[in-house]
Amino acid sequence: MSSLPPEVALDGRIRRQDGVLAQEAHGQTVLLRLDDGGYYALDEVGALIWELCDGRRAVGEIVDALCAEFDAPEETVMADVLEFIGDLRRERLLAVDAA
Amino acid sequence: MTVSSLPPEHALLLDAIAPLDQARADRQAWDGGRWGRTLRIADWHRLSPTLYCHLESKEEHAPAAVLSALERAYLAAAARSLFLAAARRQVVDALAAADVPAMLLKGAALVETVYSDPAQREMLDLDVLVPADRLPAANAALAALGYRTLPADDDPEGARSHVHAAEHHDPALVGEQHVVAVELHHHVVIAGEGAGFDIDDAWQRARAAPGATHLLPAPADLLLHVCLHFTRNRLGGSYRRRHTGGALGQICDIARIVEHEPIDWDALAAAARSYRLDARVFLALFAARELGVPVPSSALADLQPPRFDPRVGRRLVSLRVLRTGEGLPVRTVRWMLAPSREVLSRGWEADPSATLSLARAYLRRARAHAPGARSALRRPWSVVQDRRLNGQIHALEERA
Repeated sequence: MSSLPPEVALDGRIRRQDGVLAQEAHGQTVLLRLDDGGYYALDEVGALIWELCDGRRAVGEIVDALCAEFDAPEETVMADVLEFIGDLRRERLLAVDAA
Repeated sequence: MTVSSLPPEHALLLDAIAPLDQARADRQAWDGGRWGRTLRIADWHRLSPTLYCHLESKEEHAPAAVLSALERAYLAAAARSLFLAAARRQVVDALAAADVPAMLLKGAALVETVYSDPAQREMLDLDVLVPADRLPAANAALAALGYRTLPADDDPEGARSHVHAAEHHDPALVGEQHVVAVELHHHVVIAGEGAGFDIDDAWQRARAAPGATHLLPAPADLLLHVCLHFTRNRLGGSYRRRHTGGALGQICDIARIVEHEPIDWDALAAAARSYRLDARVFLALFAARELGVPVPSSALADLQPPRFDPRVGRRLVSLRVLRTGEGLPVRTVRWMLAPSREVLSRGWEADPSATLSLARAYLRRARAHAPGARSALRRPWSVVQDRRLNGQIHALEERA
């Protein structure tokens, strides 16, 4: 298993930040940060992870859900999810609440 | 208008907004220059997001660089539509809380009725109709949300055309982030249009927006308003108005309404006639049908002004709809060659008391208008026809 970025605890609950709007847009999902108008596009997999970040699931549960959806090794999925969550945390789109 | 007479770039845009059984545009031999020109024309007609969706869904893709440029425009439009949707909810909720009836108009109404993907309908502002006697309450409700009229000093040249006051709406109110402008309308026509337009009729015909407090125009009113804007933007007496971009974007609006809304064409014709807007509505629908939008021929026949010459309608399409954004300069020689000191100082940053500064401003202005002048010289007959077109259209209105 890849090492965790220090800011993401495995048992932390991942949630979408307030003030971020999302909309499906022709096969992609556009995220808009309302406070400064910054926007981002997620592909299909990114959109699925975004949906799973509902404030109730921890990283492990998100990985489990993705492994059930896609035929991919858990280690690879975990690395991708952590990178995704780290990127979106830095962009103030996701937050991690302590368990 | 036959497919073969369409400029290829416009043919592709029409394939995106009003597809026929067989595509109008044959893109097999298009080179980079033609694609670049297509991107500019699509932008001018406010159709870049729609063109992206059209090309992206085709097996025969456009060049990657073209798709990438269009995708960027599409995603920006999607983000902006999210922002506008949030503002729209906030505005209509505030108006409802202030007990002000509100009806969305134009783009705001179209994205709630006929555009399943709001990113495909570019919007500059939110247009909201409120009763004239409730305008003060509506303004107060929006002021409480942070909306203000733009101070003159903060009004950049580029934004001025979008925030001016008109007879039928108050000056635009701009949100704190200067991203969303709201125009509070008390009517949908301006002076000189639709002498008998009773706005109370539109209120009575309006429908409730599903699950919301605001109203939406009745289908026929939605179409009438879009048609009215189309002709206003193409005609009128104003140079700026005649050269407004987005003509095919408005044709797209008409196509979507015709496709998705249950239009009572008899009621539309009756309303347009009683408001003395039949010539304007007819011309918009004529242009749409010429370009492939399935407007019923009986509806057109009902609205057709006496002694209408189809050549006038086709001239309107070729000169003022199938535009490239490069402009067809219709100006007097005096305007071109002898601008006043005021023009040079206000528009071209000249110091009116300094001869050298005025001369430099004159040269800057001449350089800026040179492409248009060259275009006019290449197409002298088009310029003559364009000059005559307004008179021909106004004659139609007088006959109607």
